[in-house]
Amino acid sequence: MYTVADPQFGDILDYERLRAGMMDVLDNVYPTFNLMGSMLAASRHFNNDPGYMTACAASGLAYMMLVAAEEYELAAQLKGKIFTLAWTEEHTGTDLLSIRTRATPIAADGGGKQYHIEGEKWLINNSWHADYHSVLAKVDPGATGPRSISLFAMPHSSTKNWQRLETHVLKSMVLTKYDIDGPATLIGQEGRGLEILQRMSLPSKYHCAYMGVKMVDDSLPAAIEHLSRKTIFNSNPIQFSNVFRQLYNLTQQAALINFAFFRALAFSDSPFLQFHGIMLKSWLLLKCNEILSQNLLVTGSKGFLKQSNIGGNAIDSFVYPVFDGHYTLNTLLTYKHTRRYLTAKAQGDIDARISTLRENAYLPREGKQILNNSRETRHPPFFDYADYIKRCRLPIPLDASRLVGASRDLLEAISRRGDSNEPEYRYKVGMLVHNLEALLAAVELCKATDNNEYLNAALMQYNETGKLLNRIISEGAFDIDFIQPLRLLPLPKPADPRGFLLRLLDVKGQLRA
Amino acid sequence: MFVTDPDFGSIVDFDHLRGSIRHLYDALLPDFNMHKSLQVGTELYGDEPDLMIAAGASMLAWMTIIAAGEDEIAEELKDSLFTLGWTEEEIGSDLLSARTIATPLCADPNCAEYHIKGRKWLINNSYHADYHTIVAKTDPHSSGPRSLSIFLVPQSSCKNWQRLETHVLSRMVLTSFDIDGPGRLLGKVGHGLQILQRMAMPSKYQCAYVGIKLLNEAIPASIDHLSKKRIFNENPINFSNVLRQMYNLALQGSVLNFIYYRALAFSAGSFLQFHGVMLKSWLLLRANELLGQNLLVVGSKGFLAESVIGRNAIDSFVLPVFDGHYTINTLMTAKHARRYLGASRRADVQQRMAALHHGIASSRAGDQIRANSRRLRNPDFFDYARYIEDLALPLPLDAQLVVRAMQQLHEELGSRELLTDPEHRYKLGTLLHWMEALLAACELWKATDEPHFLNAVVMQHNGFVNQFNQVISESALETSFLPQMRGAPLKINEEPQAFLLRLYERARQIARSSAEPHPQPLPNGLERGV
Repeated sequence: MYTVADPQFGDILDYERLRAGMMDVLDNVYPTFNLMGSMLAASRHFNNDPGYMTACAASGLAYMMLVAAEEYELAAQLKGKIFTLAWTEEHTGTDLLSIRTRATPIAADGGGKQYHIEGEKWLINNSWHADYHSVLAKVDPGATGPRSISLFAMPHSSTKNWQRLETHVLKSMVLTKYDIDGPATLIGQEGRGLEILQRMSLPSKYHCAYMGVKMVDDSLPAAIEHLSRKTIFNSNPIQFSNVFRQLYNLTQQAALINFAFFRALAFSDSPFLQFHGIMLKSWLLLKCNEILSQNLLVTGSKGFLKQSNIGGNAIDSFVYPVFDGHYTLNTLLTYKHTRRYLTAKAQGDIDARISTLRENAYLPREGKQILNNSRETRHPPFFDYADYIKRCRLPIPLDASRLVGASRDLLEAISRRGDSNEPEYRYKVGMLVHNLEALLAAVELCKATDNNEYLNAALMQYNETGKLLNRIISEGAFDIDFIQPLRLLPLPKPADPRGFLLRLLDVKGQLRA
Repeated sequence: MFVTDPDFGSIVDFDHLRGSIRHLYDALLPDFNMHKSLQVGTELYGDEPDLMIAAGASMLAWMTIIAAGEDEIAEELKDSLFTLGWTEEEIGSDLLSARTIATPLCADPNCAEYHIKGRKWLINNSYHADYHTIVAKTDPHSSGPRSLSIFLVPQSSCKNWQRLETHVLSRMVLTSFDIDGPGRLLGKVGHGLQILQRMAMPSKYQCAYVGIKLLNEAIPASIDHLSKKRIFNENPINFSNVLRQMYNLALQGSVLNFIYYRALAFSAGSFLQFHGVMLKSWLLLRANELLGQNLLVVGSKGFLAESVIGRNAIDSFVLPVFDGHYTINTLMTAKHARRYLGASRRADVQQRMAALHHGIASSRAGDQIRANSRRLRNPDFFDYARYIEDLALPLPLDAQLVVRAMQQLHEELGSRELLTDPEHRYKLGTLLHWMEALLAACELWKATDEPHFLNAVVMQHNGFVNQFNQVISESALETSFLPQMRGAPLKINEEPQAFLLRLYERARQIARSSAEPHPQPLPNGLERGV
């Protein structure tokens, strides 16, 4: 997409263009909040270009913190400005409680909201071009508890000494490290920085995951088109059964990715906000990266050309599971739900869920995700997993209770060994729950579209979950039976493979059909 | 090593490359010493993938002249940069569809001078090269295996270069360009494919070497970073989830290193092609996966332009694809299935261990570029299961079951007439690669006696089983699924950083102890890799 030649930085985003598109995006953040609406507006303006979309998201999320803190006056006043997420420092990474940036109340302000901020921030997107920074700082440098951090809105004039940090990905963005030494306004109350951040971060996980989904949505059709047009050995590669098999598998996974994302959005204005959001930020984005990488390898040389988004997206997709909260930390959060997830007894209402999915999955709607109640999102109303899948009555021998049983056995075995608190197992079990949930999504994909072509997506996800369980069992040498895979339905032999795969990718179309 | 070019920005310093590349060629002519060529390449260009690949492309193109039996020309042009002028935009790896035409300039049947006309695409070094090794047809209508010839074309016969920028290795200069001028035939008319195939055997080792090099920079860099960084008042490596991820990466990286050097050790014999094909497909795909995971574990720091962790992950995508797509290589392995699974010769453990320990030295006498292709098509396979039993691993690894299951799968594919179907040939090739990786991991344990490498054996076994089960699942075959194996839980009594680095080094020591020569002094005026 369009970049400008900057005398200092070379080819970079046109920040004026970014600014021009921001307002439309932020109309979906304040005064009304429309999570999907903000994403669609960004797509409209920036054509899913990863550089613009990411810069827009960084600015939009930083602005969203004002709304999360219910600072509506400021939100109205600063709407349309370019913001940064000025959180991390070189030594802290994701560990924000260790930040060293300090905030000192300005005495003349008489206990008001003006502070002097001093410190250094690192790897901050938009930071050279921004108008405002959403800065995290400590009023008491000795404090380290969850109430030790406060949030400030700081004008660009309080920052200096920017040094650009060049990266291997998204090269047209400008990230810097810089010094802060100047006034800023407290957002919300002192000590509530982490709380505001957490409130903002739940919807933000959806924004971040949207990038991955859009990359897959762009790159897979591009690969299918290329392999349908190219001629090699007197045929189009897509006509070779090995290439078709690879693309078919990628397509099924991509369809599931797309559906899992919009399914999460459909249920996002509910206590599932956090549970789904975390899965998007870790499982889904890692999966997008895998799909895009394989997609590049299948495509070969053409994908490496700069003009191709097949290579560009594969490379850029590495950053999304990592930035603004590493996928590991997100997965560890899911671990906390495991017992409730695996033992829930309530009966899931299939009709209600499927009709929500059919009606809302691809529809932008206003919601209150930015004002979520953390007590509720910590306890989503899980239901009996295996029973729900069984009652969906898919025409395949998918026995979810086998997976649930093995997962429970695993939890017990870990606990007996005294390893329940080991991050290794908390992480692995978190991944397991994500995979189980992805299987549930695949089942709902089949059910909601009523299209049996997606049954293989469910079978593949069952096998993926089984593989993960087997790996945990193997690496820990647990005395639990390994999961045997299921056999898939035969690979279709469509007369028009290109059209067939593109139709499968169009989940929204299938849902509406 | 790099210069700022007014047209292209920051690019490889091609004059520097031209000034030093003779040392690379010297390793290959008059005596063809594949291992030495890798070493010299590492010494000169080792730390910069852009440079390494640019030099590698020139070296392979120059090697084509040797493969064509034109040693005198090769000797004479040792101060020149070359390109692999093979592919064209429409054809990719399908060289038999090349449209570049060669017309003899004299009526003499032995005429070596031709006029070459056509357009080549995505050719590395092509704007800066002195010579191009060009694939062309003398008869534009022929398309058989004897339809291609190779020509040595000077830069003066080329024009209209258009740079093709790429997402990877962005300091190399690839172009598409026209050829319209004289060129000299290399070897005989119609022998082009044969010459390429001959050159391609050692080239697979040279290409895979770059993958190994990328791993050997990036994995230790991650271990170091995660041991230094502080997060939540701790070094990340001390968190058991991070340790587990790095342990798996270190084990798998060790296996890849060992597989590489093992292949090199046996490259003088009939396994040259079998191992080489596995390196170019299976090993480079695995290296790419490991580097991707390695970057994801490390997080933000790996993305900085200065970090080799991100750079190597990104650059590694190109290796399984260029100069022969991994798919085509894997299909070649499928041809060996029956012989691989049915071999009855009992291999001698001591003999193979000795070959591994002293092997790289023996690879020197290999003359891999003149290997007899008939011999390479029939490697000296041995009884797989019996050999693994003879290795006496303290693990309940049932190699007989692995072989029986594969034979059964092969039979079922045959009875369903799927043995000629590309999907299943590709899968069969992949499975053989995994079996060979399992065998290699067993030998790694045997050669090092390091108990942790038993977990590497389990990982290869389970990798094989996952692939095997996937084949059965995807085609709903009747062949039974195979069960996984259990490893040993991760318990260490050492400091994690030292432990992981020690483990990683252990596999690489095999290569060192097996007579990897000491770094040699370079001629005056030449810098070592930055």
